[in-house]
Amino acid sequence: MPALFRNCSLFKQLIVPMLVVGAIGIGALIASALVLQGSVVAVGESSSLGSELLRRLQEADKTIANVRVLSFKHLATESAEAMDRTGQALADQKRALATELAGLGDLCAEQAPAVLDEIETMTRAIEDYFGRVDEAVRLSREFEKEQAFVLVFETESRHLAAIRDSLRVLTRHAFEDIAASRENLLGSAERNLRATIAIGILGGLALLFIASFVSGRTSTRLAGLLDWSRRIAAGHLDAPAVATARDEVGQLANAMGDMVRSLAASRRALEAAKHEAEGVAERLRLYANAFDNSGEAMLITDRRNRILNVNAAFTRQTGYALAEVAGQDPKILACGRTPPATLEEMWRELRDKGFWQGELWDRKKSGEVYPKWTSISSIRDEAGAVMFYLATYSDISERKANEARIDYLAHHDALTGLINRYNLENRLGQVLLSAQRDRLRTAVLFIDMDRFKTINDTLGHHVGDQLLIEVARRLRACVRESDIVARLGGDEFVVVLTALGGDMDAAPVADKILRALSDPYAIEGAVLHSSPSIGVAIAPNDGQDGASLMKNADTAMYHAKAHGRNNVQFFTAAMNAAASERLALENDLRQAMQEGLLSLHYQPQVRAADGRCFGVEALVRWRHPERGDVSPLQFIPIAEESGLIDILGTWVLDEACRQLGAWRQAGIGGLRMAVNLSAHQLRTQSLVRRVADALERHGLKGEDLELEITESAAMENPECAIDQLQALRELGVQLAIDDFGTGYSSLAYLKRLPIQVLKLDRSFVRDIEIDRSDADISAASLALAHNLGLKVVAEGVETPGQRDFLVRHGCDYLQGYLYSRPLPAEAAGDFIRANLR
Amino acid sequence: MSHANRSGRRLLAALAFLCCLPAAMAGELRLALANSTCDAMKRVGDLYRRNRAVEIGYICKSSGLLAKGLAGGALAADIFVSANAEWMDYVVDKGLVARANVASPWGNALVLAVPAGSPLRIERWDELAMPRVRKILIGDPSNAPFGRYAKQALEAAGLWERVKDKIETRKNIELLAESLAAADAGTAGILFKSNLTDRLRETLAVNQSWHQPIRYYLAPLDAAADNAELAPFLGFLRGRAAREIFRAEGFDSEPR
Repeated sequence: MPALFRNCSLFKQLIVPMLVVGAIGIGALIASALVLQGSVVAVGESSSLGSELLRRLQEADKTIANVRVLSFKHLATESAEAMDRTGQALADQKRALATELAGLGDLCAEQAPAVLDEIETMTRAIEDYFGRVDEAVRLSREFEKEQAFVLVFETESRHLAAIRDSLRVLTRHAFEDIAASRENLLGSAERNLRATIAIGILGGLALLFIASFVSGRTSTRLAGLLDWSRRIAAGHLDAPAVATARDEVGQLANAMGDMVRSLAASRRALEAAKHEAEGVAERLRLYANAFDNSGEAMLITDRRNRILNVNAAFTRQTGYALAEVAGQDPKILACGRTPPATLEEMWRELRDKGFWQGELWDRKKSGEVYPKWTSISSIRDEAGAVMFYLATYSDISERKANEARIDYLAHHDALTGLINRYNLENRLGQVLLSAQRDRLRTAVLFIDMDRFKTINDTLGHHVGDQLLIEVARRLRACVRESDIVARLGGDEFVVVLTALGGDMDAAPVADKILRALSDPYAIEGAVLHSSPSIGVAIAPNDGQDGASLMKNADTAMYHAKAHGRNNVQFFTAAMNAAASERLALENDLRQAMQEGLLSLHYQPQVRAADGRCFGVEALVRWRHPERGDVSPLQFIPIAEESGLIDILGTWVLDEACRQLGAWRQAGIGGLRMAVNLSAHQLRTQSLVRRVADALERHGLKGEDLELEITESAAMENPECAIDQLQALRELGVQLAIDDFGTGYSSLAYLKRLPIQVLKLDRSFVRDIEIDRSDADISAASLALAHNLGLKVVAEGVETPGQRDFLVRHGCDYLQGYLYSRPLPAEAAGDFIRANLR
Repeated sequence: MSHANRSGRRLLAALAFLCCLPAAMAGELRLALANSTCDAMKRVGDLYRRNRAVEIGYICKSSGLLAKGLAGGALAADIFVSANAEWMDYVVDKGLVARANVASPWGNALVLAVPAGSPLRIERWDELAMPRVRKILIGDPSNAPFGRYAKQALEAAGLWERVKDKIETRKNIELLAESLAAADAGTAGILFKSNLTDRLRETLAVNQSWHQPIRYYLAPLDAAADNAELAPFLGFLRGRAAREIFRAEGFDSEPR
């Protein structure tokens, strides 16, 4: 190594190795940056694949639902002309779906061949389904409605089920895809970080080595020089020099040496000047070249900010050639999206510091608006007056898009698409600030799914993940758009209810969530039962900042777990008040039942044809000595949780039968009594015996009684429900499905349940006059029910318009305020007497 | 069911009647009737009740809806009248009615009608395909037999494909008679002759060879075998007075 450096100048010895090491380092950094960029792009592509897949799947799901409703509508339509209109709408939806599916196929063929099979399976199932729907519609068009209905029922349970399975698998894939790309991103970022650190350490070591080597040599030489100059200073030049130095020749030689040195110095100066001049020329050529060939878009304006020159990259970026913009103000590029404050800052900095860089939004010649990273320098003459402005731009729209995508991944939970803990903390902070300003309450609900671990351990992560996705979906459905739903990890979720007026406003939502998450989960053909434990903390009383609210909600959640799961607990004051109110209600209810403070009211049901009374629905009332009327919505859940429902249900059944018997005695005959059964009662083994006892005790026949169950109670455990209902049928009791909606699963089950009556839910009836699709669904439900030989009772009929629609579509019985509110026994008796038969 | 068994049950029913029921309490009959027979049956019922204290409940629907309602338990009746063989077969297949108990007491005929005041003149069947006939009402072929017969007739006449874009269905014959009476001048409808009202005008009779013979089928439900009111009423239905009412209503009252 020393030999290598012996004949080199200090410059070369020090600078060259440093340049080499630096260049290697920069090369390595660029390489790793390229790798990083490559992986970001790859992640971007794959994550956009996931979200694109998701979007298209949702679109497909919606279209299939539309096809379903339209096919029902077609079957329920009596006029050829109207059927053709529906048929047209149906064809449009099917075409839209075909396009959507083809797009989905292309998308996955390129980027996710793994799911192609599933898409093919789904496409086939959809084709089968559409084939059946086409066939049904063709029959319907020939007015063969019966055969059409048979086809639709059959295809409902076969093809729709298959389509939903495929949709679920694909949705899961889309979520997995988003999760995988996020992991890829993290992995490559980590690899890059390691590589960069390694390069940094190696480069630093190399530089340290060279610096120590060169400085070692230099100091040695300096020491020699010092020694030599000391010797010269001391008159001891090197031996020959010393020998000659003392004589005149030596002095002459010295003088000549001086002269030669001086000449040499002048010549060196001349050489240097020439070299510099060449350097300047070279630099100027370089600059011009650099300006023209720079990859960065550049623009030069004169002191009055008129464009003098632009380079080729500028033309490529903006689409403007020099001739088009020369002499113009660069303002012509602006699109108006850059905040005025940024522009003010730009001019201020240019004036004060001569340099500014930042983000501007401009418009290309094509009209496209894009963000660009801009650096502007003002070039001044010696007097300090501005001569030019030089601006360079780079298009950062892609970078911004990547940033946004990475931002999404960083802020959202990959499995469920909910926001994650990190994002929750930020957003909760903002929500609390604005709540403080507006003097509103904010509730934090900490939710933990009971038995999740068991499900995960016994049925596998796959099923557990599906459950979590479904939980997330239900949570979102329970809250408003402005509320926050987050997943912290595992089976822990947090819901933030924003802008609440009072502490107790959180309770109904918490209750709704409790009920929504307790409903059974149908996952991959299995029915799973899980329920949430929910802890609630409410700002500002239970904590002012996010961290303490979360902590307190967590504590409340543990209380909930300790209370036997599947319940809501509040923290501190609010919690105690709510809990003790509940407890008080429970005790009061117990007492009320003992003291006979509960009563039944009866709401008449009339025949649609003539408005005559045909039956009544028994509804339980509780007049509390202090609170006044307590709604069944409030005390039935308490009764269910505390086990009082058993006694309450039995009492209601018996009291309703007693009243019917009493009316009979009073000469009011031919009336049917409808009584609601809770899900809990339907599960009770002794139900059938109790019903039989009540009938016998009051001298009634089975057909005098109608028992109403909700769709969800029947679906909770269909096999058991069917057995119980069958046994009730054998007593001659009429069975009704309450709050009938149009869930995907309901039709297939409906055919299996031994029911005779279908109650059209008040929510559909309410919107019949307003919402076309509710009217369609109601009309189709009526047609379906009639085709199954069922009778239909419409609930909540309040206006003549609703009545007319229902009568027109053949509804059998009506119930609602239009006829009568629920009445106490005596008043109900009067109403019935006046309107019977 | 053996004869001995049946008389045993009758005896029991009679005993129950004597011991447990107040003498004044009237018996009850529930009739599930194809809509087209409703008016005639109500007249028969009124006549019958002049000489016998019995409550009669009438359930009037299209035959298909009656059959399915009876099979699913949504309806309960002692006697079922269907306007075609298909829906009677349905309840027989479901085990609700014994084949041997099914009788066919009446027949009917189809007519093409327009609103009484309508200027629409139709003299030949293929005029239905002309633009001036804008809408043709028939019964729902699936559940209302008079619609099934109408569709058969239009097909046999070679008209179905040409007129099916004008078709609108009604769930039962009473609804159809009502909508037709209130319809505009471009509307015609096909219904049973027995259900013509004075607000409708018959324009053409349907050729009987274009459809299956229109026959009604009547049977007691097996579950009603214990009802003591059943046998006397069935006997009355077979009698001259009842047949006379049906004939006057426009039915073919010859049993087959």
